[in-house]
Amino acid sequence: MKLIRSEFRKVFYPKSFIWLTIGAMGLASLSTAPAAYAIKRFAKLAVPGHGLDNPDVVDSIYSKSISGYLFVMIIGALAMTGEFKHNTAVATFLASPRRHHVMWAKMLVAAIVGVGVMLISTVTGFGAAYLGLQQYSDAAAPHSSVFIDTLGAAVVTGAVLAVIGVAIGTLIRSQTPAVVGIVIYMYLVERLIIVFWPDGGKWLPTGLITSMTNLKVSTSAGPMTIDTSAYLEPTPAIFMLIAYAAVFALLALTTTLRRDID
Amino acid sequence: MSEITPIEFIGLTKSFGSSQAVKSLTAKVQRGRITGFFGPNGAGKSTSLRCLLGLANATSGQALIDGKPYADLVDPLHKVGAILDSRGFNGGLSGRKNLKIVAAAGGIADSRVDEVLALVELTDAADRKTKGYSLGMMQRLSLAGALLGDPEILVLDEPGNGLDPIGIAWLRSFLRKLADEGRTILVSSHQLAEMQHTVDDVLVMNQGELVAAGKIADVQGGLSLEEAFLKIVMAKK
Repeated sequence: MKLIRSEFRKVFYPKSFIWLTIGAMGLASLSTAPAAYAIKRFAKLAVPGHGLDNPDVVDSIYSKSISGYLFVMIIGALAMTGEFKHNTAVATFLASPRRHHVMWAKMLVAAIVGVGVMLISTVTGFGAAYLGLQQYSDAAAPHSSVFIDTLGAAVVTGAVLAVIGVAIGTLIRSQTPAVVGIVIYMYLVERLIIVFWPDGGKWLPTGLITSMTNLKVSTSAGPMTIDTSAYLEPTPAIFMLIAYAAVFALLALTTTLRRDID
Repeated sequence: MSEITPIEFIGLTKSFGSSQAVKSLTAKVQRGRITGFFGPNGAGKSTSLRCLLGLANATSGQALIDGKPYADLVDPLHKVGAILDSRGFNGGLSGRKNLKIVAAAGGIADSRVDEVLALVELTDAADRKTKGYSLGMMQRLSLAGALLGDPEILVLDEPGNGLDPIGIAWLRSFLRKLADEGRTILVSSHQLAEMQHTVDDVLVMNQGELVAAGKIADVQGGLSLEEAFLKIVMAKK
């Protein structure tokens, strides 16, 4: 318990936590608020029946509220890279020389904080999506299940990606490369993989997150292009994402136990 | 029954690749005494202390605290207080918050944070961000951190770095007060003239090897500590 208390203090004391949470809320809002406009703008490119009058398309807009997960990964990474950036790792491991205990505490706290941040940012995204859709009188009402499905996916995503973030921070240690690496992977590498290997997309973290939202949509409306028909069902997607976290956590645990602390 | 030695190095060796930073160090630190740990830069002092505190893995041999590796101590902050790096604080947080993080990890009440801040005379600066602290203030904060658990043993790596003459005099009397309370102190330093008035026993390392050990008067052999140190180290070269 004492390590968990200490780790919570490390997260909540610095102001960076507030800014990262605001960042997650902002990203969720930017992913949803303009979506209705974008669909209207690119309506001519859309397959007939896949406009805002289609509840599945409206669902897809609300489901984008989950987009703040990038910041959760960063919060997880900072939990570990901050120790090395500020040289506090020495004090941490002097207080608790059993390093795996520290790692478990860090991952647990990151998971709890990740869930909280994802719930806040996802609800913010819902609000932004609602405001965006309000501008169009022909927009269909969403299915009620989209909110529960997206919030459920947000909870799992928050916990799992925060743990992966901690693991990445443990493996890379240096803050800037860790954070830049996460951003490049999520926004460039995964997207390139999907372009060159579309079937592989469903196995990647973002594909698994989309699977968890249980979205059933296939549209090519400009930036809202999405086809979830070949994606995994939510339950296997959850297990797959947890498997990613387990592999990363195992790597982080073994690495931390072996390395000298400078 | 023989008393357990508070700090003991038994054939401790630490290598980095093909380079041996510490070569089969065997030494004991006696309870309730201040032991100076001296040597030129790169002699292996800090590496030995890091092995002692479980931060670096020994290549061979052991470094023990009360007969156990640091990692096996049940309540390490109550047993050992350490200063290894005065930069070990989050500059964006106040001194008080930095200590509260460590206190929580050690299961120590927040009220103790105020006590140790008062002990090192940092109460007035406790709520300032540590990035605005002078090096001397950082050293005092490090010392406060080391004292959080009211430990029996203190391991201090160059605690006088950055202190002005008043601060050094303060540190000397502070260490003596701690030793008079029965604590065991192992302190490394390059300030030999100052340490001459502070320590009871001496360990001298050079090029990874222990080259002298014993009571300060025996090691000095009638010389000043600095003269004796130079004689020992130069003889090794």
